Amino acid sequence: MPQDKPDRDQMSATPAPSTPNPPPQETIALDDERRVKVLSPSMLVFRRFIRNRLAILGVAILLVMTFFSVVGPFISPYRQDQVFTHDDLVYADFAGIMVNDTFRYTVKEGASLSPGARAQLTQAVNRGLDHFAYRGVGYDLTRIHDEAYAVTQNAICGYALLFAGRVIPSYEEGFEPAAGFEDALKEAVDARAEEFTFENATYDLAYDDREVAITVAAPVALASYNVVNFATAGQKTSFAFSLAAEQALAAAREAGESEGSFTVEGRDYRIVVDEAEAMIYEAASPDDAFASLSKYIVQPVMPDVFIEPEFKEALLTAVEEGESELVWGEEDPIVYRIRRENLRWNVRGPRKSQLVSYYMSPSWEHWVGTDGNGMDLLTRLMYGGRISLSIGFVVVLISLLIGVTMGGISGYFGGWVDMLIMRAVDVFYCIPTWPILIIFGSVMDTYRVNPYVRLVYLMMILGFLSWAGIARLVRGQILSLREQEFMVAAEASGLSVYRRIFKHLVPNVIPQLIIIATGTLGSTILTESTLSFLGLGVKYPIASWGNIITAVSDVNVMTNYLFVWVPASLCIVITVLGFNFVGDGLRDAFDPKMKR
Amino acid sequence: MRQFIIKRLLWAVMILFLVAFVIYLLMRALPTSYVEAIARERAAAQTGMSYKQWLEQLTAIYRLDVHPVIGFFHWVGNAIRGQFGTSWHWGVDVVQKFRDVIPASIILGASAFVLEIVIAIPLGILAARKQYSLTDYTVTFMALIGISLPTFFVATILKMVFAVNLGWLDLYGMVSRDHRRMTDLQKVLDIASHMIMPVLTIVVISVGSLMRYTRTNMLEVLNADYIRTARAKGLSERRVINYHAFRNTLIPIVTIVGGTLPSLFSGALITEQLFQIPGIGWISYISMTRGDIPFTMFYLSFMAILTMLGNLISDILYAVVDPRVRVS
Repeated sequence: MPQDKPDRDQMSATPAPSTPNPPPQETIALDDERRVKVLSPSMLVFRRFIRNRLAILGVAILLVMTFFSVVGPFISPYRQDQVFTHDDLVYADFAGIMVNDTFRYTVKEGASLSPGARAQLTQAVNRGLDHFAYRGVGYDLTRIHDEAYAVTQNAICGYALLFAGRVIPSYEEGFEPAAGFEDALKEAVDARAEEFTFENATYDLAYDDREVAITVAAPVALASYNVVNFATAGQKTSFAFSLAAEQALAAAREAGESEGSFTVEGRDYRIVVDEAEAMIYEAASPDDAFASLSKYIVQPVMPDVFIEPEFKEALLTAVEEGESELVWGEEDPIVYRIRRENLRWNVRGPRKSQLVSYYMSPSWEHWVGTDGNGMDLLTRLMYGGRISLSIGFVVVLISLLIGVTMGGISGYFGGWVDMLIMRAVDVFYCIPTWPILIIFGSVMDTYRVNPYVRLVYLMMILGFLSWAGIARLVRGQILSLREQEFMVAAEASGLSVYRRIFKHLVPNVIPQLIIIATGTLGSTILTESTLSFLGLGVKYPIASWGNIITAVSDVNVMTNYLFVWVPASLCIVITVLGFNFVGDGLRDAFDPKMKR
Repeated sequence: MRQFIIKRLLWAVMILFLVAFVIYLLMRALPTSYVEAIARERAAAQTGMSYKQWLEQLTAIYRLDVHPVIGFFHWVGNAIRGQFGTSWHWGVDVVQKFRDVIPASIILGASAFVLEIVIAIPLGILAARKQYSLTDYTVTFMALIGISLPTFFVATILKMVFAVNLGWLDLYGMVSRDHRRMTDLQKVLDIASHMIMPVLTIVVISVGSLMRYTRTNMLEVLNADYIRTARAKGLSERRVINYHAFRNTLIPIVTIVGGTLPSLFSGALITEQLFQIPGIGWISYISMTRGDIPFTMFYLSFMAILTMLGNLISDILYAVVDPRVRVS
């Protein structure tokens, strides 16, 4: 049998196993149907095509990209215009620290100090006086330390009647004398003394015939630069507490000690004096700060934030030492940043806020990262591929439709029809594509055309601008084909013009059309992506490979966020390469004498 | 031959007229956004005239109030005399602006053109001579990749490597900041260094097609009978390739290359825009996006003429180079 091997290369060298082997004794002719496996022309083309490795690679690329773009959007858990956000710590104004340079008043319960009196008080302190008057009421100032004064007001607390050598006191409402007070009073009155002292308070006596008016310097308020902050939110200081604390502070400072103690309402407190402030501990629980006393005011920016005394102390220490950062917290330390602004310190602390996750590096949630709008890039690549590929196909379809019709009619009829159509082709050939596309793009920009409508216009314009070449090719082919015998036969058998053109002529042009279509597909994708890159093609929110890459015009993105533009660029390159590989393979397969 | 050329020229003029008409109609059919924008701007500047009044006045100034067909004949009448009007956006005579910017485009185009030919033709011939070798596959593969690359991608990669990472070249522009203070030699070198990336971009994306074209034609020639004859009569391989094959390959290549000659003047629209080279391409891009009708009309007609010329040159060259065409 070897000598009878078929001489044509395209026939399979070894007979297909399915063909029944003829009995050996029977001699059969060379062109016997059973021996010669006839392949149809399209089968031959197919065989040649699949032998081309680059072409197969191209087909594989196109299949993968099609799958990626068509099926991908259904698999992807995200939408193409879904914006991703995340919670992050952002440094925001946390608190402001000020040095208090005016008196703060702690007014005794039940008493009052009018604003006018407060103004007088400041003046008196500035002048170094120890008393002042306002609206007929006299006030005395008792210095506790340089920045704290106790204000007292002389008020009548009672009267005493002198009756037959006896002293009968009657008191003003609210004045409850302690035991022994009456004896002291009687003794002083008997001696006709001007004043007497009882339990730290000095009482003045004014005699008038039989009646003695008892006046006492009643404490009204405490004026101090210092502010008391309690460890528990909402707790307000009392006059007694503030006064005792200030006094203890003054005592400790005077004695040059760092600690002191005082008692208010039966509770013992310990005060630890520091340069910036004093910390107050309750004797019952010495570990937890009870309150702090300082002339620094720490004002939180957010109304619901409470600043603990310990934290405040740490902050003030940092401020005093001129630090720019403070780390606070034992379990998860938080870094606070302190910045001085004239007489203020601004403390910035981390605050949780929702941020758009833009330019996020690739991660498990976002395999390719996110773009400048916080959208998932992989999803946008998929949708973008769908748009880019469908633009390619629709444009090729439009130009094929117009081109084949025009070329077919022109080539078949000839004469003035041919002449007219060919001049139209010439005109279209000369119209520069890019300028027209750019002009249309900017006009649609001016009119703010809806992105989806714009997409349709774009396809139509691209298709309408690219039919001329196809028409010319089809016409040329048909001109040479119609002179051949099979067309004469078709005409002789009385086929209609429509049938002759579209059933007999056009199929013979199809190889060239397929080659030109694959080429146009690739170049259309390039054109579309370049146009979108320039911002004149497919518009946000629709994704296209071109408009994903637009971000690269920002040099920062170009250098730092490669994952934004490189994948999209690779998608374009690979897809167009796929089309070109396939086109090249088809060209070789259809026209074997060129290559093999 | 002369008759052929004259006939073709007449046709070309005819087609150009039609192209210009189509473009003019297109431009007029487009919204006169430029005029509207200017009118809005001036009305907002409180010049004492309302938007409507400005619009009317501007429309009259820019001759947009006449019927498009009449307007077209006005335009053609002026264009024949070389008057293309004053550019709306640039504020100078269109032809003057064109003269100012065309040198940059010619430098860019010519350098790229020379490089392309120097690279593409030898490589294409090499690939054809060693068909199916590794060289052939490499050349084909490179050519296809070049064709598949989008301009902006090539430009971005080049910028990234040479301007950002290595810092050798400037990202944009045609001259450095201190260009005015340079000596003449430095000025030339400065422009040359700014042209490197744009030229490379153009070469990378367009060298592929010429390379493939050369290869295909060389293959065709190598399979021709007269090459077989030349080999059969014992000529050295070098003589066969350089003398018999190469000369015949030149016929289609010269035709194609000749046809692309006019496009040297058309500027590289996208590349110039990407590198902000003030050539005809970038300037036209700005004019087009701003709706500057006089400049755009000029540029579009200019492009059409160049395309026309390209076709004409390749047809004539074909007849000139190939004696067989002349005989028939």
